[in-house]
Amino acid sequence: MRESRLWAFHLICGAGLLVLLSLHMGLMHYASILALLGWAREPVLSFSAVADRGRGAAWAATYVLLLGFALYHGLYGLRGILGEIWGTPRAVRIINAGVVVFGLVVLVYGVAVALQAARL
Amino acid sequence: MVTEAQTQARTRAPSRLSMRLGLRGWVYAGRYPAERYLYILHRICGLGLVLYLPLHVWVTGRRLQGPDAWEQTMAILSRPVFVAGEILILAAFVFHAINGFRLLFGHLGCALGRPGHPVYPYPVALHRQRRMVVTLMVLAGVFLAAGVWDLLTK
Repeated sequence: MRESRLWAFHLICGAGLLVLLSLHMGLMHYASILALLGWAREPVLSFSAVADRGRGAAWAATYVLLLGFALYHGLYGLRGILGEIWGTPRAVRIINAGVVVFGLVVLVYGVAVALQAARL
Repeated sequence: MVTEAQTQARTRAPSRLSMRLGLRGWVYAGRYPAERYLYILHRICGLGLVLYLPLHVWVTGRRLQGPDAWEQTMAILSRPVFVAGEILILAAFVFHAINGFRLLFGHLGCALGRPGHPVYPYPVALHRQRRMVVTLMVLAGVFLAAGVWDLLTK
């Protein structure tokens, strides 16, 4: 039951990523095309543009949500692959602990960046 | 004459590890259909993306050091080796997202066709999906080409 819940959350995060990450990639990697259509202004990677995007609470919340979805989805997948390669109970315990610690460290750093960027 | 030890060795169930194909099984373990190779590529792209994620978070954090540090980081990332890496990441994202959409679609039971009687030649869900697979891969190619064009014309 626990595993099926984790798997379901992995799928939910994947669906969330499809929306949020597509939005992020669209803004960052298809800016020229969006600018041609009049939907974006270039350059998107200048310091002022990056700082502007990070200031709003809605943007900060979106980035934190995106990071959470990406970390869970990615690390759950990584855990599955590593578990297939090293499937002994001891190795699985180490892998589980490793992905949780790694995920929390990146999440805490990412949230701190998003919160500090909102005050820039 | 067969000893008792030999009989036990023959009838003993193989250990969990010995039944594994390991990484070789990713590449070949009989006749894999095209979707199996898409699934393997999906995993490889996912691994690349999850390894890139902490680096990306660190790079975005550089803006907290001020405009000079940010512009310095952007100057480093505009070197050809990093641009090539960015194209690989973009390709991994586009493929993983579009193939992930296909997998999610399948999990929800869409495009699998109606169940029918097992009459030869048997209907296979993968064959029913094949047209969708080809369409989505073409779409992935279009998105990738557009993204690469955007990157190279910046």
